[in-house]
Amino acid sequence: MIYVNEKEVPYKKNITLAEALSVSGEEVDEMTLLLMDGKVLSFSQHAFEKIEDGAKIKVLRVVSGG
Amino acid sequence: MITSFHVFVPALMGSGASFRTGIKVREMGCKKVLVVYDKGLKAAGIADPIVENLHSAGIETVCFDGVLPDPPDTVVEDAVMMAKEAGIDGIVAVGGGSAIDSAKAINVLINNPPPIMKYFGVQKNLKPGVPMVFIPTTSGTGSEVTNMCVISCTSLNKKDSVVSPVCVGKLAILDPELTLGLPPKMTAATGVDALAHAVESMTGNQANPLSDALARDAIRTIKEWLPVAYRDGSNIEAREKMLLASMFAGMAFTNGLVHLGHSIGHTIGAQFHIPHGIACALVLPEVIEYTAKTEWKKVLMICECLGAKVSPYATPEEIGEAARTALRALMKSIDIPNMKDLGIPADALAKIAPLITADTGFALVPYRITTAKVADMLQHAYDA
Amino acid sequence: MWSKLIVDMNTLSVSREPLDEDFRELGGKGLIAQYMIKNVPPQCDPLGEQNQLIFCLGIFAGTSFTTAHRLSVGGKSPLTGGIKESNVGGYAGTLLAEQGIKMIILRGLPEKEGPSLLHIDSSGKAELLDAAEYKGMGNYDLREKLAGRFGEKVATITIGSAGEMGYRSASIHVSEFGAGHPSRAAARGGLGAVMGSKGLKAIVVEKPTERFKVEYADEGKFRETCTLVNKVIAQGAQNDPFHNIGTISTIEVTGANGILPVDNFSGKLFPAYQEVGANKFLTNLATRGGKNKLACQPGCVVQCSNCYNDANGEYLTSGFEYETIALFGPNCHISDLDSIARMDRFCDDIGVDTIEAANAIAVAMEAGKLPWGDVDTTLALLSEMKEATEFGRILGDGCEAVGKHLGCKRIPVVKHQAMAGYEPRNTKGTGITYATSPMGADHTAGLTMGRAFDDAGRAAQAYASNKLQVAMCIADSMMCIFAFAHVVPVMPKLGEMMDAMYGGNYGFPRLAAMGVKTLLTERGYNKMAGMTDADDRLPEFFYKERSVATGSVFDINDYELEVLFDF
Repeated sequence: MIYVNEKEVPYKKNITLAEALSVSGEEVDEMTLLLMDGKVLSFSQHAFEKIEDGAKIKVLRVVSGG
Repeated sequence: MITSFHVFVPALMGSGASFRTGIKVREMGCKKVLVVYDKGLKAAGIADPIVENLHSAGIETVCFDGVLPDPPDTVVEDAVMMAKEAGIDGIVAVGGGSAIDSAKAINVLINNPPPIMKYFGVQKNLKPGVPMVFIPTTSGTGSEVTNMCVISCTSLNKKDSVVSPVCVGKLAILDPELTLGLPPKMTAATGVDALAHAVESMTGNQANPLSDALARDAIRTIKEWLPVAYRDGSNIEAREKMLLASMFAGMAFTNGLVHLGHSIGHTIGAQFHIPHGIACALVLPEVIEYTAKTEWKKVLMICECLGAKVSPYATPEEIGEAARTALRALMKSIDIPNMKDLGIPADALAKIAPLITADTGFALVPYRITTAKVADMLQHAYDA
Repeated sequence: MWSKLIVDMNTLSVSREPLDEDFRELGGKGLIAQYMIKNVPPQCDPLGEQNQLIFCLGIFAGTSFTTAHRLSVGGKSPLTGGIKESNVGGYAGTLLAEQGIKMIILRGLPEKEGPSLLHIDSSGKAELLDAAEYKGMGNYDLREKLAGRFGEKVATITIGSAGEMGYRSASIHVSEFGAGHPSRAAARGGLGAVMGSKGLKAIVVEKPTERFKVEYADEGKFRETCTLVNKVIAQGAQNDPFHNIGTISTIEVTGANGILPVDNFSGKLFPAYQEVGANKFLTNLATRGGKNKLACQPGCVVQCSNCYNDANGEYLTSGFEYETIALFGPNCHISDLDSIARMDRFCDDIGVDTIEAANAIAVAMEAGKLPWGDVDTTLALLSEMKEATEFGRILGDGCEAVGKHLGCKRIPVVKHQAMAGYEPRNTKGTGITYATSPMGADHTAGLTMGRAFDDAGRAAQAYASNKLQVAMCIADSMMCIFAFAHVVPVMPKLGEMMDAMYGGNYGFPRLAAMGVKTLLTERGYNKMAGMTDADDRLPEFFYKERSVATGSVFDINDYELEVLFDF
């Protein structure tokens, strides 16, 4: 099982990050960051990389600066 | 300035084009389509030939004739259930903006869970639906070439748009012969909606050179041919010109977007149950006049398209005034009523002004305008 | 009944009085604006007798509302020459609320050599004590000494040597909840210099033995609504990058789309931006014993703060934020996170605004005083502020002072205050906020990134800036703007909380009206201080030079800016 913002996405062999996000229904755009197992990923660079079973992905939306 | 333009929908245009519906739908790979229209269209004998045309191309049809004006979410949600049970793989909508927007909303809900109001606003990640073909019979909302649909949320008593790639048709078929029977009042009302799309898209903050070019052509065409189509609905040339102008204006505004004229139209339309096109037309001349302060170059183009003479030394205010006069003259020539004619009480104007500035379209006005100034505009247009 | 403390530096006296009835329903930014328009002459000398320094709490102080204990610091800014409200987190707001003190008003100029410190003890007694032994001290040493003297659990509000020197970029530092580092800064606009001019080195607030009890019109209703709103904010915070990482996460977005300033707002992209980004930060925290997800005040559910250690695992700095990293980093062509952390620590210690200091360095680099990306010389120049050399004093006065002194043609300031970490050509709505905010080039007044159709386009930018400037006036009157971002789904509930606290049945419109009134009051103040339309524009180069990252120029027309505050 893959977790996207705590939503369950069934794992299947060779599933990519893009597919997992699409199944979860979480919106990804220029204002979002992906945090997977403690590492920040850029969607544009990693969309087609395969992810492992058990991966926990957080889709974080940047709202303001600081 | 850097701007962008998107072409959304391919179009097939000309008298008799609707006879290619069946062939085109088959080319898309559809086998069983939902045909969406209203009861009036069926009674007018327009729906049946399209359905037959689909059958003769070997396409099965499931007909939904429950389209209502200002499509209510409840109607759309019922239609989706019917469509899913029947296992349709395509949608053909025939009619005005209501039929086309209903079809788009149905398409959104084919693979995304209801309610439709969840999807109001710009949606980037909806699951795709099925191929859609749009056959407009008014001239018109231009909805056949836009990426949005306007739906009424019955429980909250408000209208809003869903903007998404799932609202984009695969093909628009523009057959002027299907508009021959459009009654004069509807011809006028839908014609000024197209005019509003054209002039607002030129003067808003999202305008671009390509949308401007389409808008200008639409305005010239509407100026010349709407009065003809209004007086003589059987004039096929006028009908063809208006159908194209409506599509051009649709392409213009789906890129350039609309602003205060439509914000006023939405508010007045909802408060006093006025048809969309008329509601947008009521204060349109004053709206364009207001834009001239910063967008006088565009308003000058609008004057040229309307055949209004403007001195080369005219100030922005004078250009605005010329545009207002020319637009109002055009409205009057096709008997568009004013607010007083429609029975809207004069003391309601100040009350609705804050609702207008709260409309989302207000974000695109060329420069900020106060609620008080909007109320002034309404006042000015009240019995114009 | 809330109190205010009037601290008179002429007579070195402190009096505790009931809070004015007029101010009962106000707090934070809104309260500062109304206080100042009535009491601080707009044409006064910011470092003179007639300026006042106001510390005040927000509308919901003393309640269990999350982030209710931000502190607003206000006065006439020696940097902008207009009204300034500088908003800060940390622990002082919480303890002042427990003490029942809504406002501290600092007036007059000391007759004798100081400085003094204001001590509010556990019984609520407030008095000025001699602070000569702390003169010239940095914030870190000062905090240690004050904690040693008054207890580790006190909250401190302090200035470093920069404030005492009257530097126009001088900041005021509040100790963080927990570790007590003096790393939360009321940074913008040089209010540290105002505090220094009044001879006040520190405010020390002890936890009171008897906690002040807030009065409610309907306590039950307040608690019920507040619990709900806190829950919504906490839920939103779960997927907030500020909670999960920290404000440094913003670099991952701005570095990619041209909004991150590079080489003194050159408009270029910085290919190595990820060197100073989230992954580097998280790795360094994990391997060196640092921490994120820290709350700077009790009860905060966003918890964006952090504690950053050096390569030896020793404490280096806290409150290590996006602005400092963007502006000392890529904007100075520096890509070493540890070096930037040292700069952050240094600025916090002497007490200067890192945004102002970093922009000043970038401008100095452009003028050729030091090479782009030169960390060692940067640190040496920053030290000159502490040593008060001739250049150090100019640097202490901020970006415009340095730029003019060195003949730099491209000085990124509005109302003399330096821009934050957002390139205005590529987030035009933020550029509109920079230009028109009464605060000067302030991003917290209305950051529009992600809220227009296209950040580098024209459409809806003025609309977004207008809406956000009003929204931020509301937010900064009651809570942290980071928590406010998550309250949007239940915004009307804030109106219900107001009604439950102060009575009436006005709903959200009361707050909306307060927001608009605050903004217009600030503008009115600035106009009386002598500002004109010309002060509401960006520097010329933003209109003329293209950002090569996107091809954009700042092409918002003047009239749109002129009518931005037509309500």
